[in-house]
Amino acid sequence: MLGTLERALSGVAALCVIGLCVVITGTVLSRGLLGWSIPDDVIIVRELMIGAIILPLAYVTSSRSHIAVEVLYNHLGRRTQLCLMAFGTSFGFVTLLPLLYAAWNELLYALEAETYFFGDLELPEWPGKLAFFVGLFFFIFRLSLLMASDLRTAWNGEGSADNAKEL
Amino acid sequence: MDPILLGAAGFLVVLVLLALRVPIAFALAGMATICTLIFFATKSGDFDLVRAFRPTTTLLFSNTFELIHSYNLSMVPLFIALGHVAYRAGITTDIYHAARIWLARVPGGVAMASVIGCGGFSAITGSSVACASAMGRICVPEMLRFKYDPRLATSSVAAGGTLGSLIPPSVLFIIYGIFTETSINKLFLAGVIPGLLSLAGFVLVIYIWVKRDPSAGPTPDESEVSGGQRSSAALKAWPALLLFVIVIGGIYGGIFTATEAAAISLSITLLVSVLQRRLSFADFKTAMWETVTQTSAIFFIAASAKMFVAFIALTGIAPTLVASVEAAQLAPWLVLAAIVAIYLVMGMFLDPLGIMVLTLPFMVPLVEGMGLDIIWFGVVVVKLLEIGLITPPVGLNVFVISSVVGSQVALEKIFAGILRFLAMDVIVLALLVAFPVLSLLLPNSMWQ
Amino acid sequence: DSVKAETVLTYAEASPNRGARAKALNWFADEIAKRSNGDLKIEFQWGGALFDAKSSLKGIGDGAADLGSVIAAYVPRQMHALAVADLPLGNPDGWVGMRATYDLASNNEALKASFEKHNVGFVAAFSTSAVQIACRGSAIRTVEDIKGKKVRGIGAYGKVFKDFGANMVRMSIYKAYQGLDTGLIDCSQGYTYAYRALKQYEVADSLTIFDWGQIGAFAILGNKDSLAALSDSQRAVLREVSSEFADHYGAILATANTDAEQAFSDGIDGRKMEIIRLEASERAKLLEASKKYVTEWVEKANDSGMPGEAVLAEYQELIAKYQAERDEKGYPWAR
Ligand code: NA
Ligand code: NA
Repeated sequence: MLGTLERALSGVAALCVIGLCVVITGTVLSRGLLGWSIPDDVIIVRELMIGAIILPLAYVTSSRSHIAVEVLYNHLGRRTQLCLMAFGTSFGFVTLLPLLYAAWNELLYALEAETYFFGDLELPEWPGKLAFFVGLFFFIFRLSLLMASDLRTAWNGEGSADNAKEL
Repeated sequence: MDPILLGAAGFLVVLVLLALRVPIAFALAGMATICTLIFFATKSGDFDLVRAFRPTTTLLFSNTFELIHSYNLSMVPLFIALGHVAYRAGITTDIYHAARIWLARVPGGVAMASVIGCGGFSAITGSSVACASAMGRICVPEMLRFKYDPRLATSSVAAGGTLGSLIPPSVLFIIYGIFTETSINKLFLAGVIPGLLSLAGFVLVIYIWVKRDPSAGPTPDESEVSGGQRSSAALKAWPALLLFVIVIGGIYGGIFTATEAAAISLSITLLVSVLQRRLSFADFKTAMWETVTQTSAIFFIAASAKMFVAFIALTGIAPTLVASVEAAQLAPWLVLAAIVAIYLVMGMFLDPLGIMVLTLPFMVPLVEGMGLDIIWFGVVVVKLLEIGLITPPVGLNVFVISSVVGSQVALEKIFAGILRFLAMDVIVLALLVAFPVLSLLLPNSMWQ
Repeated sequence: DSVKAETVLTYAEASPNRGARAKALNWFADEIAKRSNGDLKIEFQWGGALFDAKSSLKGIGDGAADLGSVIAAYVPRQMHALAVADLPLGNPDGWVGMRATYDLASNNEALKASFEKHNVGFVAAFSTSAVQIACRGSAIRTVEDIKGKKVRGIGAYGKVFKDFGANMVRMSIYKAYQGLDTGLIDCSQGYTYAYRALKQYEVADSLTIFDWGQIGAFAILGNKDSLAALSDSQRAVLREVSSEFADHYGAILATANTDAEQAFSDGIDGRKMEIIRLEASERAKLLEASKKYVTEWVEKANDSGMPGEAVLAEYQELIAKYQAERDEKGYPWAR
């Protein structure tokens, strides 16, 4: 269920990348051929960037694709490795919570104050803030599950931390 | 708490966390959060965590959000997508087939072709990370297929990607030009010879590497290659050539900007792939899937580094360092050595843009005061920042390649290969510092 | 109790420590330190090291910095009241604009309420000085010349260019150099001194002087709590220097603009730009076309519960007042 949702978020992110390509190519073509530009193209591109980058974070986390340095780690015993794994996910989860809180606040503010971008269309600011919050929320939620599983594995001292992939 | 001490402790703990296998993004973002909280909590002498919470969360959010909420950086996901789509459509295989046939007898020929390709790609993108992303997807799998040493296959492209900011167009030169009020076109011209010199240096590294260890870059078995095969292989690679010509012509002919070039390249590649029926919808989906996963992981590290930059700005470490260099009244060459050292150390951890913002306001007056040429200094700074992209522990270009190859090649292996290219970078840097004419020849001859 | 230590205010500035504005900001900090005998100091975070210009209002309000430069166009809802100073009202004089904005922001209830709401206080006003346009190739001599040109423009000014048939290309003022160089754009909206600072004379052939308006909704704001925590004597020094800031920066802008214009017509680095002054009848057409955006501003202000007409009227009265003062006595630095 959660895996399906994470894949769906990544799918939306892929659509955002395609959107980037369409909007920018459209601007270049319409400017060159018709002497006209897509209104607020720059703002649309910036908003799409949020979706493209933040939404896949939960999937990146569930597949443990966050890049780490393993020079020392590779020379350690299995038990120590499991503990370090659990420490890494726990550290990330705890220290990223303030960012999630800030993202929630910013979303609420954008909705309440109805903030918008200066431009032709006066596009509202909330869609980008919403995408940011949603992406970050599922990322940190996934991180909490990883943390729970890593801690359990480290405590029991058995199995592989990579079991969490199957969550 | 003394801000300088806090900043130094922050750097140190990041190192420890990285050694403990904490993911790079978590280490940077986490320490930025903790240290910024401590900074604001202790700002007025007492310790008040509640008061610290609002400014801290605002800084964390605005630095992350605004970094990603960027028009210019849209070239990164687009060029990453270009690499994946071109790879899935087999366009890149055609280029490599041609390169393999043409460079059959040259030791390490395919790696050289990759680095030269990076040089060419640098002329259409202003960002080193974008350059490494696209070229990484295109080159590394092909080299691995040709049984190249994984260290050579990965590190050559990570290093080659750093040409992206020396060879124009270049985001770093634009930012430097804004900070110093120098002509951006002069800076662009100044980067050309140093960029080509770096490129030649990398090719030399590959040559020596494969000469000493031929198994690192095996030459093809079918060494008898006829002239007919050569031309037919080159002909098959036409889509790549067409793309290159359109993009170069478009940027320098004023049809689109370097940022827009990314979208145009992707559109053309998609169009050619669909028209030639070489990209199925399933392949396209896979390419986009890989694109967003890779982009997200890379940007998350960059955003975390940006949070850390904001914290370092709070500590005032950069102005303090520059002031102490100034106060020491060293001989000019020692001052230069100190400046180089500052950039190398910061480059180990932070991203190029962040380092520029942190240091240039204080560094440029110092350098100007010494009567040194500010355009030449720009080339030196950009070269130093490029080196930072491939130095451990935080080397964005290396991470880009790592995210392409996944678990196939360990991060440490890539860094191990990088060491040889770094040695060459040090030599090139020394040449650039010792002979300003290398940077100044073009800009000075074009504007009497 | 020992002697209270000096107060250091952090100033977040999105642009680098170069150019006319950085010079004025350094003067601001130096004067404050001097006049408070080192009791009040300002430390700059240049180049957006702390936060981006777009996050400036939030960053200052939440105390991530004590002071900072805020551009109303980046926060159009939040700073709509201040944005009156961005309108094309035929007010090209930088000093007049800054004086008027300073008075309006210090005294007008609607502006004060909008600052209060975001936990900031008004300190001083900037201006870009008059909006002009530089072109490569064929110049803009009449409003008809705007048609079909590829133009980089911002704010209501950019919207008017579009209404006159320009093909708008969005890029930052820093990228305009390359845009002009490659032919991606024909013209770039800007300010006389900035064309020199950004070396755009290398790639442009003409400069058209509009006398149309300025970007003036651009202010130094301070965190409300940080300002409240200042001692009475510190606050007095800050207010004194802030009030003189318009005179000081006005002088810098005026000199820089005159010098640049002279350099363009005399030739600089082997390049010359033709200086074109728009005729009164053409200028009237620009102002007429701008009215739509002035009305838009008023309506939006009214919608958000602000007395739009009253704020606009007060701003225009202040403009008239300082124009009269300038015409009568000359600029303060030339008296
Ligand atoms: Na480049
Ligand atoms: Na590095």
